[in-house]
Amino acid sequence: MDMLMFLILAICIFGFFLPSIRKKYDSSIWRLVYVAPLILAVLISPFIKWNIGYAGMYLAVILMLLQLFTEKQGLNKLISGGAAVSVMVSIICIMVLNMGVGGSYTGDFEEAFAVMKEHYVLTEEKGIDWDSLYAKYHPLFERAEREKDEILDHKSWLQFTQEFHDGHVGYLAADSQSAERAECEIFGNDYGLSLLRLTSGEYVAVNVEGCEKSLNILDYGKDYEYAENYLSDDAESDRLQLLNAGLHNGSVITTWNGKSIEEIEKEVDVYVETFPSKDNEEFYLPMYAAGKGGDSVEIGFIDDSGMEKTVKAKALGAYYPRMISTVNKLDDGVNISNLDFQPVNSETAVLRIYQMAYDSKSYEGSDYTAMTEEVRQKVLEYRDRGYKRLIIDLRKNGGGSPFMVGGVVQLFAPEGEHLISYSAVINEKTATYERGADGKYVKDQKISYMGENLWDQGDIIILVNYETVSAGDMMTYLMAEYPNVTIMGFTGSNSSCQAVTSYSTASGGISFSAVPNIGEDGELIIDTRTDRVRGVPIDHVIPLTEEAIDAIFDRGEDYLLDYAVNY
Amino acid sequence: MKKLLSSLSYQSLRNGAFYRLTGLFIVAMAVLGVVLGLSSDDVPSAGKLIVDSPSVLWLFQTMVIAIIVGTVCAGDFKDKDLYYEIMSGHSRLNIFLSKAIPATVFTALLATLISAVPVISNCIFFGWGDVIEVKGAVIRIALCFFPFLRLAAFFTLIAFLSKSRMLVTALGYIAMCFGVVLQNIIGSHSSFLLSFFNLQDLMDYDTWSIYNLNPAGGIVMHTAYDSSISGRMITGTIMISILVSAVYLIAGYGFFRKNDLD
Repeated sequence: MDMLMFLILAICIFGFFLPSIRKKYDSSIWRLVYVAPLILAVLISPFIKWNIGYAGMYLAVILMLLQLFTEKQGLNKLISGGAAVSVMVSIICIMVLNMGVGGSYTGDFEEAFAVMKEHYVLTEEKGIDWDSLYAKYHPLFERAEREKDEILDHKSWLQFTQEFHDGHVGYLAADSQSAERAECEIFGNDYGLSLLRLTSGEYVAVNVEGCEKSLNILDYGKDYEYAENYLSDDAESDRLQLLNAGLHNGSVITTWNGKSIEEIEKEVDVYVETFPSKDNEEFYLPMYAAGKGGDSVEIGFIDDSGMEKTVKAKALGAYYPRMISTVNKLDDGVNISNLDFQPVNSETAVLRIYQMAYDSKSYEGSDYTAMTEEVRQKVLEYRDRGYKRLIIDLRKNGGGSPFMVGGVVQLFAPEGEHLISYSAVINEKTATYERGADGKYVKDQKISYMGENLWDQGDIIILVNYETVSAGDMMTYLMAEYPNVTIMGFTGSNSSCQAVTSYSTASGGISFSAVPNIGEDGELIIDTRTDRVRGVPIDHVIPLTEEAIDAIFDRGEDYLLDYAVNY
Repeated sequence: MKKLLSSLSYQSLRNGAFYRLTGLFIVAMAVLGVVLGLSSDDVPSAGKLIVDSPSVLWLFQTMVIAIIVGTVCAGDFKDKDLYYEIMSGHSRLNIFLSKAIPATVFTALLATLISAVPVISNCIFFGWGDVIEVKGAVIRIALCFFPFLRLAAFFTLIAFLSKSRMLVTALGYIAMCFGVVLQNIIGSHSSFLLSFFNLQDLMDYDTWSIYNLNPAGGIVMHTAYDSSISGRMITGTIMISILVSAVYLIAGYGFFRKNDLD
C-alpha cells in the first residue's frame, strides 16, 4: 500500500508538469492523470483502516479531480502542487509518525470489555464492579493509544484481566513477538537471581546465575531469542557477580536496595498469570519482586559463614526469562506422556496427566470409553502387581474435557453414582444462562459417573500446583472426596473451573469463564469468591525448605514427587 | 435532458435483453434461496439463510450492476448514438446526467430488490424462523441500496473513462469473483469506504455462541444473533455512500465533459 501512496504522489507531481506537456500533444487522454489518484485510492482503501493520517491522500484525490473542471495552466499547476504536498503529509503521517500502524487500543478494550461484561458468568460470585473497572482501565488504554505505547497496552491488559482473580481470564496478544518484548519490559531487570520465601518465612535466592542447574544468560539464544536483545554490554563479564560475592542458591536474602523484601513485594503490580487464591499469589510474589530495581541493586544476604553481606548487582538483562525459568523449575511435572504410568519403586507408581484430552474424536463429545478402558487395564495391572500407592501427577495440568475427568476418576471413586456438575439452562435468545429468583444459575443437565473403586487396596496422592487449572481443578476437586486420596503440593490448584470461551480483537484475544458448572447446592463449583479462598482443598501443603531449594535448584530433582513417595 | 431521459426509458423498456437479464437473475436468486434452504444441515429458514450465506444477498448483484451500467453508460459510445445526441445540441452535462443518474439509481434499486428475492423464496418454502428478527433484516437489506448506489457510481465512472461496455462487465465479473476472496484475505475492517465491506458489514450480524455440556452429546453449541443495527452503521452507510457516489459521478462527468470522442 505504501507503494500505491508513492504512486499517487508521483502522479500528483506529474500533474504539476502536465499543463506544459499537454500543449505539445493535443489529446484529452491526459485527463486520465487527474482521475488516476481516485482509482488508486479505491485500490488502497480495502487494505487500510480509516485513520486521520490518510486524510491528506483523500484530499489529494479531490484536488486532482478538481482539475478536470479547469483549463488554466497556472491553477492546474498550483492544485497539483497542493495535492502533492497533501499526499506527502499523508506519507509522513503514516510511514514516519506511524499513525496508520497498529489498531485502536481503546477500541479493542471497549469491544472486549463489552463482550465480557455481558457474558462473564462469575460477575455476581466474584463481585465484579464493571463500572469501576472501566473507569480505572479505560484511561490507561487511552493513554497507551495516545502515546503509542504497546508496553502500557500489554501491561494494562494483564492488570485488567488479573482483577478478576480467575485463572480463565487472560489476554493473549496477537503478535507474540511484541508480547514477549512487552513482558521483558514489564517484569523488570535481571540481577542474576530469583527469590522465594521459605515456609519458615526467610527469603532465599534461587536460580542464581552461574549455578550449575540455573538459567544461564549465555544460553538465551536457544530459548529466549527475544531476550537476548536486552542483555547488557557487560552481561557476560558480570554474570558471576553474585557467585563471586558468595551468594548462591539458598542464600538468605535480607534486604533489597536497603528495603525489606516485603516492602519490595508491595511494588509488584502485575503478574504473568492470574492467581485466584490469595495464598497462591503470596507463594509466587517474591519471584516477581526480584525484578524490581534500576541499573543495579544492593542485595543484602547471609553468606556461608553466617555473616550479613551486601553485593551490588548490576542488571544483566530482562528478568522475564529467569522468572519463567524459576516457575518451570518449581511447577514442571514428571516428564512422561499424558496418561502414562511409571513405577517409582516396588510399591509406588505415578500416573501423569498434564491435559484432559485423549484424542480429537473424543474431545468434542462425551464418550471416553476407550480411554477409560485403557487406563483401567493399567490400574488393574499395577494393583495386581502389588503396588500400594498411586501418585497422580496433575502439576501443570492445563485442563480440557470434564468428560475425560469423569472417565478417569470413575476408576478410583467409591462405588455408586457421583456428580461431576450440572450444566445451566440457556436462554437461547440472548445466548446467556438463566439465573433463578435466588440469583443462582438454574440447573439443567446432570453430568455424573459411576465409581468402580479399583484402588481400594492402597492410597492415592495427587500432586498439584497453581498451574493445575480448569478440568485439572475439577479432577482434584472430585477426588478430594475419596477416603484414600491426599492432595498435596507447595500450593493448591488454581481454583478456576467454569468452562472457558475466547473473544478476539485486532490486537489480541481475551479468554474468560463463560459456561457455568453448577454443584448440587446450585452454587458454582470450585472458583474463588470475593474472599479469594480456594475452592479446591489441599490436604497437605509441602513445606518449602532449604532442602527443597537444594533439591530443585542445585540437583535438578523432582522434589515434590520424592516427597510424595516418602510421605 | 427530459427528451434524453425519455429516449433512454424508451430504449430500455423496448429492450428485450434487459428484461431477460433481470428476469434471469430474479429466477436464479429465487431458486438459489430454495436450494440453500434444502441443503442446510440445520432446520432451514429465511433467517438462517441470511446469517449463514450473507454474500448471497449482495455478491451476484455486482454483476447485474456492472452489466446494466456498462450498457446504459458505455453502450452509446460504441453505437455512436452519443455522438448524435451531442450533435443534436444536447449539453454534455445533460447527456451525462441522463445516463448516469438513472443507471446508478435504477441498478441500485434493482440490486436491492434482487437481494430480497432469495430471502422471500426461502421464506415461502421454509418460513422466517426465529434466528433473527424480521425488522432488523429488512432494514439491513434496504440499506444495501446505498452501497449498491456507490458501486453503480463507480462502474459509471469506469464506463465513461473506458467507453467500453465489455470492460465494465468484466470488472463486475472480477469484482463478483474476488469480492469474497478479498475479504477473506484482508478480513473485515468495519470500513465503509469500500462498498463490498459496507455490504458485508450490513449482512454481518453480531453473534454470541455459548455451549453446554450434555452427558449424551458432549459439547452442544447455541448461537444467538443480534438483529439490531447501530445508528453509526446506518448514518455511516448512507452518508459515505452518497458522498463517495457523488465523487465518482463528478469525476466521471469531469472526464467526459472535455474528453475527445473517437
